[in-house]
Amino acid sequence: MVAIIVASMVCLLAGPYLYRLWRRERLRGAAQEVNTLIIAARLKAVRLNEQVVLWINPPTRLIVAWTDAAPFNFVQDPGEPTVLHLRLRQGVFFQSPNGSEVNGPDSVAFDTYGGDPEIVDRVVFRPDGILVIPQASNSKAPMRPAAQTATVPYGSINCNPGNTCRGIYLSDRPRTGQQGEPNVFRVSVSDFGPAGRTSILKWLPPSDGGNPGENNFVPPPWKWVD
Amino acid sequence: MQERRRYDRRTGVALLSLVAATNVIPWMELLLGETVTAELLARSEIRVAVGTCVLALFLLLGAWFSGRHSPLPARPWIGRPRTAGLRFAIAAAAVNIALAGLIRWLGAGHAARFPSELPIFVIGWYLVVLPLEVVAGLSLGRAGRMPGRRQPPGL
Repeated sequence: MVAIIVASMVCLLAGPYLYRLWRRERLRGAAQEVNTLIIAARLKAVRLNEQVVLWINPPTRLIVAWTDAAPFNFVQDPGEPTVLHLRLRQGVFFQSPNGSEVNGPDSVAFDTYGGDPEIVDRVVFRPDGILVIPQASNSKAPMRPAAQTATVPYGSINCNPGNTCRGIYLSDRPRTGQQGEPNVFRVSVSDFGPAGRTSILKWLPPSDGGNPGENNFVPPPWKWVD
Repeated sequence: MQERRRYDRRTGVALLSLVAATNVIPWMELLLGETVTAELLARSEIRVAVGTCVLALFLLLGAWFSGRHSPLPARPWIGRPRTAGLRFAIAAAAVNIALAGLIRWLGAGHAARFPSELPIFVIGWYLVVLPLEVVAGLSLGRAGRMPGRRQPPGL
């Protein structure tokens, strides 16, 4: 009886801690997976000397990459083999911090290639590993923050005006407005130059110390909203 | 006398719960502190933290049962087990909470990193807190077998 009471007390205290830890690890793990897949797709493009398209399909949570042969239409045609494949874990949502819905148009902001607005949610690498720049208005390169502060350090970005940064946005809960702000990670590549460098940045709500008038995403150390 | 034993047992359980529960706080704070970085937690880190809490729980309960059921030595090295148990239990809980506060404070300043700070923390915790807890458990177990200051009414 004594052992049960004491063990129950331990579980009572450890439970909330472990739950918080699990939620955080789930989101960080998903962001890492997407980041790794982008790096792998770029390496495939260079190694195979072919254009590689990485397609993120938010409703099915499936991420697929294939080598894109002529006429380079960014669509997986017969004869274009799948080179990478991943299904993202449950409990993580595609939603940008300012997006109105889960799996919304801005949740994966790598849209419009070759002037075709139907070709969306794709990260494309040329055979030399350079990112093919998406053309949609929601898929622009980010800006640097106006000022570096303790909360917005070097390596941060500013997605204003208009929250038009390209990126893959992963959230730990749908943004309903009833709960607090969600934790949102932005995974992207080639933010400032064609080097193919990937980044995992976390959204910093203005109330947590973001620069006034900016929509900041920051590198570690991160603040969490539990 | 029976009432007195029950009272001691309840006090013992409360103090054991306090010590065992506060064990969790510094270890979990250490793990949570790691989530501010980009690297995912290694399974070994989680195993060390959770495993230590479980081990401490078993040791604590083992010491308490041992104190309750093993024969008393002719000259016990814990002279006043009730007082000693209370003091050791509160000291262990206080050290746990202080460690958790320290980890949080260091984490906020980003001076601590789990992989590099882990050995220091583990050694410190195993050398200071765990022995305190075992002695507290043993003392609290023995306290239930010795007559205390509070006497049954009518004596």
